[in-house]
Amino acid sequence: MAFTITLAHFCDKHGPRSIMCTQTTELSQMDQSTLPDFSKESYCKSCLLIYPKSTKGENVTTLRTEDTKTNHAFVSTQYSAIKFRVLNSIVRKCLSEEATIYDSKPMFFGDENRGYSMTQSFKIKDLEARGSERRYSFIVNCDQEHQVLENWDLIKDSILVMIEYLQKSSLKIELENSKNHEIYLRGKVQHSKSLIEMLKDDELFLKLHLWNSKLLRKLINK
Amino acid sequence: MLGRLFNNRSNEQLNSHQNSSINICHTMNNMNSLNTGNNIIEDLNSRTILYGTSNPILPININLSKFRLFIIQDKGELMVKNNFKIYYDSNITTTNNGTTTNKNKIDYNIFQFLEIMFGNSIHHDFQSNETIKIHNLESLQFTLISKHFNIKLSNQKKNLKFAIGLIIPCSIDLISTTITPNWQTIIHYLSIFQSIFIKNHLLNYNNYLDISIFYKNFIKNLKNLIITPRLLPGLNFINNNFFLKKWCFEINNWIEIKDGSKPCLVNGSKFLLTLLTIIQTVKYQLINNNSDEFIRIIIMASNSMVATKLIFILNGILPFNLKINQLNDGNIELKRDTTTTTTTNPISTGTHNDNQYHPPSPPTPHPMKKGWEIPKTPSKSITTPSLMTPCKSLIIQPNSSTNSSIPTSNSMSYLSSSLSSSSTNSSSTIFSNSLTRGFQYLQNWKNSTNNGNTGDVISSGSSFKTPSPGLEYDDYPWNSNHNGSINNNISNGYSTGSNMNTMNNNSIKFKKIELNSLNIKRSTTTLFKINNNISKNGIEGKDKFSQEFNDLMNSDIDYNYNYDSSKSVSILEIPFDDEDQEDSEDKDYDYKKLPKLCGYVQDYLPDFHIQACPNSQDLESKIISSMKNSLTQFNKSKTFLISLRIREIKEIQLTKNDEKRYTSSIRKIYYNSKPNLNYLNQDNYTKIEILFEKIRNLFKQDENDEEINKIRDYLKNL
Ligand SMILES: [Zn+2]
Repeated sequence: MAFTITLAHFCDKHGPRSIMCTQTTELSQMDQSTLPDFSKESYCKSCLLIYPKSTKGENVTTLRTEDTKTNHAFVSTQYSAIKFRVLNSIVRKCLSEEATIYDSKPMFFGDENRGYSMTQSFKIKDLEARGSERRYSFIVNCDQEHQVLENWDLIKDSILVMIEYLQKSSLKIELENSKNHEIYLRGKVQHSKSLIEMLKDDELFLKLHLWNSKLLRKLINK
Repeated sequence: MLGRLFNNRSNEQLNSHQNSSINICHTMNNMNSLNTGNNIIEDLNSRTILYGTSNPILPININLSKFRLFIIQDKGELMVKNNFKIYYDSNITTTNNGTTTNKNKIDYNIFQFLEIMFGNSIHHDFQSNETIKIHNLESLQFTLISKHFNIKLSNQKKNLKFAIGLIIPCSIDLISTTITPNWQTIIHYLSIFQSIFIKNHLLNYNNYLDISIFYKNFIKNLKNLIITPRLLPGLNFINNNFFLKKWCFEINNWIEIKDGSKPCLVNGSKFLLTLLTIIQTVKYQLINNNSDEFIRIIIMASNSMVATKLIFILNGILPFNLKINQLNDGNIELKRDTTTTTTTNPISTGTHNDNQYHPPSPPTPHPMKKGWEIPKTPSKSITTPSLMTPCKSLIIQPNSSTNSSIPTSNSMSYLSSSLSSSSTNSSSTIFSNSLTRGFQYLQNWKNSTNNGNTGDVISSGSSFKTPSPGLEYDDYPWNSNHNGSINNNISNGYSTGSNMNTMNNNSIKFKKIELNSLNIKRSTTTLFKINNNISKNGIEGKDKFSQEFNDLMNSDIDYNYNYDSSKSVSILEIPFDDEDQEDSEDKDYDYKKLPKLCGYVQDYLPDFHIQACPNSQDLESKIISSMKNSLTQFNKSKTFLISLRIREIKEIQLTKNDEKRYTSSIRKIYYNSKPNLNYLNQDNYTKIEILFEKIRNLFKQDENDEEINKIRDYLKNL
């Protein structure tokens, strides 16, 4: 059983991209899933995994939570170094090959080569984005079909609460911003923008990592 | 981007149909609706002991007429209007003169979701030849399952893209109770449709009768899988003694009454011992069919109550992790059922004061009935000894006379004739390659329906209705008088009266084990989320997640900086914030799929591993046919066919030799009152013998929870 959870984004500049991929590894092998520093040239703020300002200068590339009870570690990185090709192709499939509906409802697809994925896609309103919205998808992938299907509700609900939170909070912040006069200028200029900016939360990705780790831990425990 | 335009368009299309969407949830009273009970005989007693709930099991309502199957080609011609070609649509019947008619009035057009199903045509998915997808089309309240495959024809350059779409009229909430527990069956049939299509219809246009037949068969099987309540195994392992006591009690009863054991006097027959040895040997294959063998335990019985008790006994040793210590937390109610009457005859504790119970029709006359008085009305009386009473003292002797409705020789010959369709007796052609599997299916299917009429018709007749509860229909051929020569030494020594006395001695203890009601939340196919994911303030399920996530988002995250110098990686270590609390919590968040085991059903159900059903003329042919079908997915297909009337256990086995051939064998594991020990696993036989010994001892002394717990421990390690 090898579940991964990917937060993917259809970047206005770069197309379908993995922002954060959370994987499960055994404690003894956890150093293999860390990610060495990589060139950020082909990334923009929209599609980059951004760490808190306090860690600046440290070149952090990896988030990790160890769980001695299950003897596993949960590791989040910009993309999975181990399953890069497979997950990259799944991200593309989810965000551009499939006719995705961004309604946060689950969709499922899979084959023998790339495993089986439940995806939940959603939009976040942002006047500074193309079409005034940014598109994301959570992709939970596993090599075993029945593992995804038999944990359908656990996965679906666990992902859905993240989506609902992100949409609700970003909307609230957007409304507050729109009270400013800036609104006049905004909407005319398109910027790449990170989720941490839209949510005004420096530690957003750390929290999403922790939540994903909890889901992965539950899936192991079953 | 074009892709985005496309996506938006699909979205709008869907929304525009929202108003006219069919509301499947409100078609519950439709004739086509599914509900439990058509094929299932159940009453409060059976429900409690087999399914873990005294409440009627919630029916899953799906409108059968809203299912739809279609086969489509995506021609990949983006600029052409008719990019999609429909090869087959179950909603359209093509008549001989080529005109088409719509079968059902359905308010949607397939084309409206083909784009969603196939995905973005600009970005071809070259990665794989076969993909499976599930889409939830919320506005139409259905689920679309599609299997996509590419075919390269020798005379063409590019791959042709096809998909088989299957619409299941259930909304997203029902996926876990209808679709995922039956996923294997759905996938299997999609493969069959695919095979038939490629073999028969890709190049030549002809009618789709073959696919239509399989489609009907599929709907029927899926319906049965959805509506038939599945057994709940594992109740013997939970920390509540009620079930285990009840179970021991029923085993003890069976040993004494059915198998005819008398303390100190007679060693009864080894029928139950043999049967449980078999179950013990194949128990893991019954619970999850991960092996390459498909096993069926089929109990032929005309008395649903006897069959129910036997199934309850068999179910008791199946390993199934219920994970419900929660029983003790009061989340699952276990309370005394006040509607139950106590009877002194423990076997007939079945109570029928449940609303769901339908009075049985008069029992079918039986050749062996003379000499016994048959009550004219169902007996609820406490004091009237049922017909059970006299027979309990006797050794059960199979009556292999011609009076038995299915003589053994007959059924043996049936199998060999049905297997010898081509070459030899032991081996015949089943399919030449994977693509013709569908044909084998078709063939088998035809055979099974042509032989002796269809099961549906038969089941509506009165001959299979439940006999009177006071009447142990399956037993009376076993009673003394006709087999007097064998049983003389014992039967003459006992009058009915003295039997009653020995019964009463036991009943003093037995009385304590009354029917209680247990209400485990479940559907026919799954256990519902067991509510241990209720937080302290009573919020459950997704709301609890939502609250937890909000708490997390509003908290400050602990993290430490770490540098892995060997890999030159900078890591933020983020410890779990909940390591103390979280342990077993949320493990049972999901619906838990129940194995395909069921109780007494009117018609044989090929997809179930354990069941009891009435014997019928075509039962064996149906069984053999389904065993052959299993060989398309498994290397071996094995059936243990148990006849309660003649006390016989037969093992029928089909083994696949290669893609074309299989070998068959039949052997009698229990016959003529004796097990054939050569065919039984000796270790397991001994284990069950010891189990029986422990249970027998339990009833020789005063009820003792410690002893019960010892039996549980023994079962856990069985
Ligand atoms: Zn970007």
